[in-house]
Amino acid sequence: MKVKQWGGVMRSLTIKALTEVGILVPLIIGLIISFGIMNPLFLSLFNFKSVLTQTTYLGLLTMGEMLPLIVGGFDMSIGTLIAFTSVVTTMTMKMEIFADPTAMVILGILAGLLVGLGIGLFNGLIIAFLKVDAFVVTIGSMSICAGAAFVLTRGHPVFGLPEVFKTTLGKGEIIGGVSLPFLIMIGIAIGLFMLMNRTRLGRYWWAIGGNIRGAIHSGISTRKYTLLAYVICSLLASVSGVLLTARAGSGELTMGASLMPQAIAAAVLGGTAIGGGRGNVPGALLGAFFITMLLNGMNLIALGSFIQQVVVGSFLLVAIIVDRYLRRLRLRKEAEIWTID
Amino acid sequence: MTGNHEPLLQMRDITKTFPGCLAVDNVDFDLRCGEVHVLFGENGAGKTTLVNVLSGVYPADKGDIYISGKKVSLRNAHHAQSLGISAVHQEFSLIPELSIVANLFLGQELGSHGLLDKREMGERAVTFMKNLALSFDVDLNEKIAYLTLAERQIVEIAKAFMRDTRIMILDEPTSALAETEKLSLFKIVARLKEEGKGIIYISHVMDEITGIGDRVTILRDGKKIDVLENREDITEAHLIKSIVGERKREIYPELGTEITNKVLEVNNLSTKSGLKDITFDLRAGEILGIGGLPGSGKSNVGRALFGLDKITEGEIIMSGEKLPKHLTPSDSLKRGLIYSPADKLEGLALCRDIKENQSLPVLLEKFAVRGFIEKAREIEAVREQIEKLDIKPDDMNKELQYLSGGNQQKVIIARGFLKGATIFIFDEVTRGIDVGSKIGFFELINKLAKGGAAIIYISSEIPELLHLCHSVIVMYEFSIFKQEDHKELTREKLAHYLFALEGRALK
Amino acid sequence: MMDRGRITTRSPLELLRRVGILPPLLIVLITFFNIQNPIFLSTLNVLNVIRQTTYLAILAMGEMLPLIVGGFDLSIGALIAFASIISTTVMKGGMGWYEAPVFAPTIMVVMGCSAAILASLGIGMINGSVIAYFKVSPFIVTIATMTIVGGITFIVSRGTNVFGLPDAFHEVLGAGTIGGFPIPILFMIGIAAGMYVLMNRSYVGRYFWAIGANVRAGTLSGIATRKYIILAYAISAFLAGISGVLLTARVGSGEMTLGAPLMLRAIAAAVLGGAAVGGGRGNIPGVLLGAFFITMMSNGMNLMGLGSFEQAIAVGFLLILAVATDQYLLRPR
Repeated sequence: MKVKQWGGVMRSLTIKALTEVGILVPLIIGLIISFGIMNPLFLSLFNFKSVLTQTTYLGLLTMGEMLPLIVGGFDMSIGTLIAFTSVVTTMTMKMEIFADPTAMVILGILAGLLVGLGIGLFNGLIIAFLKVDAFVVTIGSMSICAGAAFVLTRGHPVFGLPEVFKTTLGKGEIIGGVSLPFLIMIGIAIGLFMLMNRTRLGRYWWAIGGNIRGAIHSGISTRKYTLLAYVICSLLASVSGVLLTARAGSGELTMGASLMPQAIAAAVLGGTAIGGGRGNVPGALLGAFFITMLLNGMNLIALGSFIQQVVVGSFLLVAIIVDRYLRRLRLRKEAEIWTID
Repeated sequence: MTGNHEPLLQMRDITKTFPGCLAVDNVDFDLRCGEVHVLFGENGAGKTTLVNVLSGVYPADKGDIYISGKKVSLRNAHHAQSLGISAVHQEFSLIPELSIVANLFLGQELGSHGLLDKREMGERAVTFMKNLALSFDVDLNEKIAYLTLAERQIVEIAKAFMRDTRIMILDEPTSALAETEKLSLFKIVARLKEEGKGIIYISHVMDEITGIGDRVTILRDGKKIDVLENREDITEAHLIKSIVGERKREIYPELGTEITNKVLEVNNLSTKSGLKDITFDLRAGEILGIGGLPGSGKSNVGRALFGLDKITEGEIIMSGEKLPKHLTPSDSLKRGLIYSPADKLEGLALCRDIKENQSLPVLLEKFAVRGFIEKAREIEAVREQIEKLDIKPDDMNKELQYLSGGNQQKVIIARGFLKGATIFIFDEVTRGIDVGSKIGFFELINKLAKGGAAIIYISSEIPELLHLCHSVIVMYEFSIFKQEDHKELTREKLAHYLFALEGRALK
Repeated sequence: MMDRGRITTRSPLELLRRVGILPPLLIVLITFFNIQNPIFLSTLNVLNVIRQTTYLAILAMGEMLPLIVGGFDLSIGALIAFASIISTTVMKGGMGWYEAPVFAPTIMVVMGCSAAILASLGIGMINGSVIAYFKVSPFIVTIATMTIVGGITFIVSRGTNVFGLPDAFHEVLGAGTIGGFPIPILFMIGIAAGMYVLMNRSYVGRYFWAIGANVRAGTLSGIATRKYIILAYAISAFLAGISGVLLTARVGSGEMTLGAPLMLRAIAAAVLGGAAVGGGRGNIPGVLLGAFFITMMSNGMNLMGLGSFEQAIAVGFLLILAVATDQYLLRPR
């Protein structure tokens, strides 16, 4: 009854490998080689470290965005949430409640994370409990976050932050030149990976996105876990917002605007399925790394930022098309008849 | 063999309404330890709703549930499971991107302190699948997405049996299974009975009901009609009578004799989906049955003729005209061939109304003048079909999602009539449809053929192939195994062909 | 459980379900704004709201089609800026491709507008083709084209706005009237009428709805589904192009940031007007009402002295509120 008619084992293995890790690994290797030829500086240790540091922010955001995508939704609000977080964090820091700047920094960070928690709960509760379409809800909260950030600041960036904030979280270096923000991101990545692969959380998320009725029939409290996906997503976006603010040294209103499409692109390139059921932490990180590296490489060969935009968009399109094609190849014969028309 | 009389489950005065539909109306239901209690009734009679209430998918509006004499109020599916109620549902509850093992343990993972014990789960799954003795040799780490339909159904059943269960609900568990797998399933059911568990079994297949049922509760229009308490009462005749009610009649109509000119000629057809070397003729007035086990390619014959499967070799000649090699559904429709897919949902736009669904394939040809729709003409034609086929509700502006399965099927058939099609392909037209509507469909199809249409009737039901069709093609491994005239066919012969056994006794 | 609640309060809810949440919301809002500021219902202001609705309405009618066929079009915001820059660049002699003015100003205007609208149409066809043929998520495709189109816009404009356009452009397409009616409004009425006929009187609308409800049903009915999916995205981009050109004519210069907030509002208008995310539902009168509603809200908030960022917050909340009511309370599940 089983149909196993692949031409060769090698071909089958290649397809399997490519569908599991996505097409990113070959893409990244290809990119490193071509940029390396065009500008040898690209291959320097210094540049490599700089790419890793830059990956921090997009990496956090991508891991976050991955979760709503896995449970079959979207989060469009993470870009403006970064700006909202940035503004709230910096404004809180400047309130001068305590004399100690470190205490103010901690207070500011907490306030920023609270914003993330609030928006995540807002999105998640409406989507999970009222069953409103995720796209509409998060596009609504995207608008709300952007508006709130502007209304709070009347359109001006917030300057004059405690030095301790900028030095520690902005450019803080620890061992061997690896920055603190990067270590934070790695720590969060490991934590999220453990959550998804060593506890039932990941399985439940994949189940909800893959087949919600099946998840319900298996006794999974789908609403709770859907809510959790949005909350963690917003929290990660807020962490990213705080770190970006520390790096920029001021509370910025336009921060993160370009990051939302990049995060979605990175997640999807890393194997997360729009529509749900598929996606994992290593893939998301690779996706973020790929996009950051692509932007960095294009900077080094002096491509204008608008041409970069065009290139990123085109890469996304092509990569998705290839990915779809590979997955179709892997479906077994009978299953194919039912899933593809 | 009727188990002991200790009541395991009692459902009292259960009522459940959906918007615009009273699905279950004051139904009482009992289940004893060690019995197989069959729920039987037409489609939309309320069987699935009743078991969904029991498995906690949704709450009843009214009524009480007692388990072992203790009143319970089910909060959700999880709660029902913790009380020992497991279910194999009609629609598959598996998660495509998770492995077989992960699916088997979904919702009750093993581990401690929140961490999963993957090795333990893997080992237990292997042992469990071995003990289950269903023929299944797939790596348990494979993802569900890459399994065949039959394999998925086996995992689905295994998943339900894996739960620590007192009450097992099997809602049409055999629809994608081959005969040998069905037998294994029945063996497992027998084992559960011996262990003193209660089994609720829903099926439309007569042989299964008469074979394993200890008692049968018959539902009609959401109400309980009868309970057959003794095994001796559970006979095909009895069951059919209870469904058809007073209107007792012959199930299969007399076959027409007027078979005239050749309308379809298929020569050495091969497809990308795997069909090999298919050759047959179809004549006006003829009903040609196509049978086969799941995965035999029988559905692909219909799909290929309609232009859904890519043709690699061979030719199709319709009324003397050779069809293009890159056949599309619109090519076939244009020439008067209409196809009703096995999966009803494949053909219908559920959130649009009856009118739009009926006229969709013929909109341009019949009702449009220079691209504009002549609404009056369309409405008249649609109303005529609703009356002719007795589609309920008879409101053409009703969205299709509010229709029962049988009525949705009728909407597809109405398309063929509107089209004035000469060749009809029906794929599993009676799957999941009650006996009453089945009889209606048989007559309809018979009448169509007598009116000069040519019909290809794809089915996995042996009696239907045997009695409804002039001639039967049996598919095996994507090729024609045998074609035989109905006069020469017997039940045994057909069963032999299905398993590709010829002249040997079937074990 | 819900049903019993519904039976007791049948008539108002039943009525609400039929007309949707939008009309009552509209009445509440009009009353509220008028109490806040009586100018709100003055003839002048009402006319003003209608005029402002034009651009959003055209855009939202376009966005409705991808939604109906079960997708999205996120690129329409970027397309407005794109159309603005392309039309004005061509009018001014196109990046030194030729000396301007080669032809009479009127012809230059026509050339510019046609170029922008046709280029938009082309982008729409690319969107549609990739979505239809490669079965890639429309979300990803249009977010990619949004990025690409944004990049092209900046490259063409070299990062500056385009000034010094022929007077005819603004005077006719921006501020012109025919028989007392502003030309942009006439455009909107014409497009709305055309779209209504397309959706409700021709077979094309039926096909769109059927494809959105179930692509396979469309295939089985012999519909060339890909063709109509491409058509839906093409019309969406085409209308975005028209909207972009009209908006450019109104502001009188080619703007790179034109239309950025309009994408969100267009989706909001379409969804408020009953177009379902996921496909199969949506109609022209509803979308027009949705566009009118959003414009009116902005206008009312302007009169109250609230800026565009307060409006962004309000639009966000109202969108969620309206859709939540619609999906949660009114639709039987």
